[in-house]
Amino acid sequence: MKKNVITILLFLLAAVGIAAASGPKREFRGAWLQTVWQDGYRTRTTAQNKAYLREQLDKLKAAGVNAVLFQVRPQSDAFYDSKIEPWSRFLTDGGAAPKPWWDPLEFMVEECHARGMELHAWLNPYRVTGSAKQTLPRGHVYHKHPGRFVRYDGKLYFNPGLPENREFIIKVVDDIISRYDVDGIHFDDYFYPYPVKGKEFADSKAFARYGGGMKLGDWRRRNVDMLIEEVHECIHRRKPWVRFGVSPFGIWRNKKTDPRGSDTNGLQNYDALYADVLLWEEKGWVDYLLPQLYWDLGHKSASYLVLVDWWNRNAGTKRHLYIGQDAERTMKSAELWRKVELTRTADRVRGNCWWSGYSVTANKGGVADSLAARYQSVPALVPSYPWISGERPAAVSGLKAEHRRLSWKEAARRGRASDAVRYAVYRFDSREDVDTERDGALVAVVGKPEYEACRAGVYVVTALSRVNVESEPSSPVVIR
Amino acid sequence: MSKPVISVVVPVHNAGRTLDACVASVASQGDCVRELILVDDASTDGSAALMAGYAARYPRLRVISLKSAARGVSEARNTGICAAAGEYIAFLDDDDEYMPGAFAALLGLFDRFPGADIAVGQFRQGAYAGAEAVLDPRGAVEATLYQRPGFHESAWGKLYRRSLFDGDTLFAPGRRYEDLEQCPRIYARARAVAFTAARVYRYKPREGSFLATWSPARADALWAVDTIAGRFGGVCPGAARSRRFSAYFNLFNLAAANSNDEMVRRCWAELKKMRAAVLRDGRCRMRNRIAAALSYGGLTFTSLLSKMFR
Repeated sequence: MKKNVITILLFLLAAVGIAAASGPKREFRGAWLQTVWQDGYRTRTTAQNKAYLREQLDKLKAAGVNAVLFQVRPQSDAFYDSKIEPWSRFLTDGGAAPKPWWDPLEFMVEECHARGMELHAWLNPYRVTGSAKQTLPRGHVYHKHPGRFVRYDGKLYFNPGLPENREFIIKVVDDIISRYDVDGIHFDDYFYPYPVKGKEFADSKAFARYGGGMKLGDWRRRNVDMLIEEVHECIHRRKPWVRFGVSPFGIWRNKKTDPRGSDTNGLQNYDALYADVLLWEEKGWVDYLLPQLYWDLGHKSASYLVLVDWWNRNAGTKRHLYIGQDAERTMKSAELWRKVELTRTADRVRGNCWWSGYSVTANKGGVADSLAARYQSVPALVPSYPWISGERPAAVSGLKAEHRRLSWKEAARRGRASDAVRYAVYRFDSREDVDTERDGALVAVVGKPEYEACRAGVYVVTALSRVNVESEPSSPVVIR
Repeated sequence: MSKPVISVVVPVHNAGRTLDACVASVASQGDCVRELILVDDASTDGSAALMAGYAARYPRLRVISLKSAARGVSEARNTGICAAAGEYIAFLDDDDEYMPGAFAALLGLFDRFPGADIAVGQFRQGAYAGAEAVLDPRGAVEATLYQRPGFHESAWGKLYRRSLFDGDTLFAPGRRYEDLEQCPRIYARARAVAFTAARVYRYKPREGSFLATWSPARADALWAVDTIAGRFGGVCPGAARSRRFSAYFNLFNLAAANSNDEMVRRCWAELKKMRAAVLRDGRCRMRNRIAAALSYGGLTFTSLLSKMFR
């Protein structure tokens, strides 16, 4: 009997595992950490907040995440020390500085980089308040220039049609990238507000002044286009290695509105939010598009399957395309392996991003376990961005091993895209060739010039530039 | 009226001449087909337009394409598996057809053997002489690896419960002989596998098709049997060895006929290691055991024989 059970178990084990199930060597594996509507940051102390975020990052790293999208400007406010906008009401009351003082963005940049992860600062461009009752702290730009804002369904928005608002938003972006070592600037799906039945967005004055004979819809799209283009230009001038990415709502247009559209029946970016996201890739204004495909594979009006196919055919050729995944919903529908497999099969999709990061850290439906054990069990490098820079950093030098601890010389940074800012550690069996492209050879991506090896073997290290271009491998060292 | 339970997955690559008959053979199966999924593997011969035409006429048909360059049948099938919503999945190649009534026959097996997760039909008349049977996964894997008549390794001609598929049971990307390698892997997942003698599939071997000619990709047969040996060598060593011997001998013959000396030597070395055990294993098919016996005549003798009999 016992032998029989063992045979059956062995037999089942025989069926497990085909190569490359853990994923490709280069894959964007993002996670969104939103601050909007999160009470915890306001109620925890500074020390508790830091401990909380460290724990979130440790858990995300363990689940294979390599890029964190941290919301620093949820509603025309700041999760960082800003001279332009008040501290966020989701962090402190009345726009006061946090006590004891800390700068969440600075903290997150350091903590992510220490873990070999990227940190993308996530901004909402136009949103100001979340309800009709909400008041704004003294010093908010609204009090000085109320005419620049539009109240829509009770909530305040920057009027996207005013050049001075574009300038203001660009100033915010420029301030962040100038003072913080972020890897990316990220916008999500909110552009013109999601339509509310029977409500008009009251921008007729601005339209009359700046419309220039355009149709209203074209003019509004042009306003958003100009913002995107100017953000891109601002970044390009200031720190060209900082990526600019957008995670739009999952439907550009439906087929019945536009023959180029997808076979879906949902809200349309182009027509409702005035976000012509395909144009942004075509113009090269964004470095990645990350459509939020939160629906089930067979959803009636917005099928994941139809949409991943559509995006794969319509984006991802000039710039990168990643897919936004709803972690909790995907686990509920037991569709994780199918969705991951499909994004890896789709040849223009270069990664996923998990909504929300907190669902991953809470292991909702076992998502973190599944990612850590299976789909993201082997680390991956964030893809490179050759249109920004293809320049390789210098190879790592001075690699040595003391017992099991590897260390090497940290490269000097010169404020260039080719600066070595992260390192990839590879391990090989003593009989294997050193081939850094081999499946499973990459064992870690680290931010500091050291690594604690847990297995014997031959190790080499490569340097990664600010845009993830990889250097030649170092000379190998052996750990016994 | 039967319930629409089957998702049929067809990898399509430049199949403009055969696709009509292929699609029609599914369309005529009746209500049991929930959807026909054509996975366009970057066709360049106008199949895409053809497929769009079908989609307009046959509402249960959908076309997906995740590739801008052809990547082969494995990845296309995997895409189809991920897309499938039916309770069962059937595979169909773009130049083949299902026989009339094929799905009814295979679904009938599930009715009679509710514990089965896979129903296997035939693609040659009289290939399987036995009665309808249901085997536990081990029995099914062994019968298949020992190559008993009718226990074929093709992906098509079968119905699979969709719940058998996950990241571990997909086809290996970029490989040929992907069905040979995947077949025991998915059988091992099933509670039981049911077999019928009924012919359900029309396989149309073509001149110049992959199996009729030599190409370096033929060596993937060795990858497939080596992988099987790695997985199943511990639990059913005889069967894994028998299948491995077959593949190595087959490739030995092909390589000898094409004077590929390197491949001849590689196969010969492995055949020598296996032949004694194959000869002693009464469950090995006769062809393998004769080949094992003849191989004692030496490399030159065996390659001469294989050249003569081609």
